[in-house]
Amino acid sequence: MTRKDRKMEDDDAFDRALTALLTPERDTDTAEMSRAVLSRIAARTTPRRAPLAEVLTAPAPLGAGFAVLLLAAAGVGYALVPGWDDPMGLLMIGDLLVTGGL
Amino acid sequence: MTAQERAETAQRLMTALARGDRTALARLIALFGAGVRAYAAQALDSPADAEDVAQEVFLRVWARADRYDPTRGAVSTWIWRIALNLCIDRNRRGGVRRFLGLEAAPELADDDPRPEARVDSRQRLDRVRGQIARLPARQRQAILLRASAEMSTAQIAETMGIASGAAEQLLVRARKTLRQAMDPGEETA
Repeated sequence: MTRKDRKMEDDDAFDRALTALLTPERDTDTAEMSRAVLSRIAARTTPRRAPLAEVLTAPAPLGAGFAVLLLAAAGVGYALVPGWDDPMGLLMIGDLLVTGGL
Repeated sequence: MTAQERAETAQRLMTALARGDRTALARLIALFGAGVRAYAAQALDSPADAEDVAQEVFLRVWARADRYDPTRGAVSTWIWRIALNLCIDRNRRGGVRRFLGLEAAPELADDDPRPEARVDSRQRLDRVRGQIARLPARQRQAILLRASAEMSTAQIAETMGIASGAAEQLLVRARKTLRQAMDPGEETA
């Protein structure tokens, strides 16, 4: 047996001794861990779509989203209006955007 | 169960996990949970957090299951890497909290005598654990992956993201330090 082989054997024996020393500490029961992890996953999981009752009792978030969509649609509408090269047209659009045409 | 069968089972479970199968998660915990908890108990400055960290490891496994890429390594390597990083983060946060006085310093195992254990083996275990805790971080990670997870040098290298030779060097240095702490007459008996 070469010196290198002896050293490897020594190292393996040392590692086994260390494992044996630390292993009695090991608790092999994982059922409780499983339950805890699955409970935490269940607690974190929320429904992706808000139920209708939730929307009716707190309509602000959905209402705000709808308003943003309307504004975006209005913006697109103005952008597509012909007359961007006409100063009068631009004034009218500016008037509509600033004062709402009042 | 052989290492090969274990790896194949883990691979199948990961595929099921990516589809949202919670039973697969429970089986994965049965495969790796005890080892991860044992590693965390040794690697953490506060061993009482081991259970919590082990749970967090599997929560991350669940959350990131669809991102697992089998071509980049075995399932066990992926799980152990998550455990390793979580322990590092937890120790770092604990250190900051202790520095700020928000958390009491963990008691050393030497100060925690347990009457139910045999005094000799307990003292020896405490001495070794104390010595492991004093090792440089990388050496401690390497020797604990060897002792707690019973990994090969190649697996340790893969988990730590270093070359195999570097992992072997870390193990050699860690063993050298620990040998001085353990009774040479008993260590290889």
